[in-house]
Amino acid sequence: MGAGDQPSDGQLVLLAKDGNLEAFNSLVDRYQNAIYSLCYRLLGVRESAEDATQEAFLAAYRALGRFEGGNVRSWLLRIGANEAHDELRRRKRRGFALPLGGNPDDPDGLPLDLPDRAPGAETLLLRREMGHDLEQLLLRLPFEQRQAVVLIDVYDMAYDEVARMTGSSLGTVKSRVHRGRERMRALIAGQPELFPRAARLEDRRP
Amino acid sequence: MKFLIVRPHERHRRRIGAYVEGALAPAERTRFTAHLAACETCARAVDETRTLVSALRQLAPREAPRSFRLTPAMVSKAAPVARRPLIARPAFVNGARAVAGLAAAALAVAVVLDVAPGAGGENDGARDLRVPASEAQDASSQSKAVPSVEAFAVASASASSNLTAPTANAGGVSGAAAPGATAAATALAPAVRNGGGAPSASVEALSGTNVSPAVDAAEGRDEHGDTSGWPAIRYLQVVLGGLTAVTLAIALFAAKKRSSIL
Repeated sequence: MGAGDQPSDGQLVLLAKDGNLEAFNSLVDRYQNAIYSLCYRLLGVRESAEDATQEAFLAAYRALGRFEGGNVRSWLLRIGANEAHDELRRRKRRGFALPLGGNPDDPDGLPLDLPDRAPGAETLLLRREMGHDLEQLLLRLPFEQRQAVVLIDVYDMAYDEVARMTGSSLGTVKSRVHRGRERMRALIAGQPELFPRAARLEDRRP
Repeated sequence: MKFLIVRPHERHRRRIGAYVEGALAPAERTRFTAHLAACETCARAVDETRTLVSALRQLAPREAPRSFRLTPAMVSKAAPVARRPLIARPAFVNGARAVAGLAAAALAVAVVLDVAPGAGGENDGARDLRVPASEAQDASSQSKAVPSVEAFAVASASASSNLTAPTANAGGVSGAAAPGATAAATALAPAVRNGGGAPSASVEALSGTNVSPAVDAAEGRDEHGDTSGWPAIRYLQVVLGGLTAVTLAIALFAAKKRSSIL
């Protein structure tokens, strides 16, 4: 697709600010996978992730007037992370515990042992499979560590950006990422059967 | 066992993340690289962290299970504040607001009853409650003659520490209570005008510090008599003023907290 044919995020935001809902929905189309993925990775339950995603876009629409330019994706991710946090607290208050270690019944999640696969598709499947395992590992971190690791390592956000959006100090965010990674590393090392493919990825490096 | 071995390396382990991200300062990087050559534990930790971070970076986005496009109905229904029950606790805030409004109204009524000529038995009408004009002018150049009733109400609402016995009910809210005081004074101004024919004062002049000399004056007059001789309506005024201030402060604080979320 030619980049020239598509309006930029900034243009869409300007249109949406004037009340053009369709322009805003173009942004929804563009970022709903990213926001839903973020919410799913923070919450581990599909329905909760859907609720949080919908709330995030609604909140973003309402907050359009306060958006002063900058990266639309980061702005939406920030709102998505906040909504996921809210959703988590809502769930806790209602007594729904979110499953630690992910939800094995989740229809989105690929089963750990796949049937035979065509050799050509192996790389893709390997990636998807590993992605699923990684998500399960992430869900075993305390929420704040998970949030920090997901935003920084998966979504490539800057430390200071995450510090600002979570209202914590730079040192706190760094420490959360450090502890989160260490914990994941220990989980992988302690239970290699949980995540055998991390090692394989290392083997594949040139 | 593994953790026992790793423990002495905690100092270095803190650098692993920054090293993998290439965020170490050159000198520190050189030092850390030298350490890695000598320390197998740290070298392996670096390898594993690098693998982990690179795997996380490659984590492909999930496919959204449905469309999250907004419909016009969703947008119009959700105009200013949709459901944010967690942060907002709307019932709680609305309750506080309702109580504040009722208390302010009741306070106004109580003051009118107190001030109206002939209504208050123990007071000799409104005039008795008035601050001498000269003192009031000292207090604030903008208000020519602050009726002491108004000053009294403001003082009770703002829980000023100048006041003695009766204000104890409203203690502890002085910081946030200023809006409450203004609101009470606003509610009072017309009431005083209608009831006692007392000169009206500009509400803007009644901020906490400006008014305190007038309060002292009013207080001074009352202290000549024993405070235990106060009519019940005075205590009622104090309690209502305090209630107004506290509930308004709660409502305002909660609303402010909510608006700072996004």
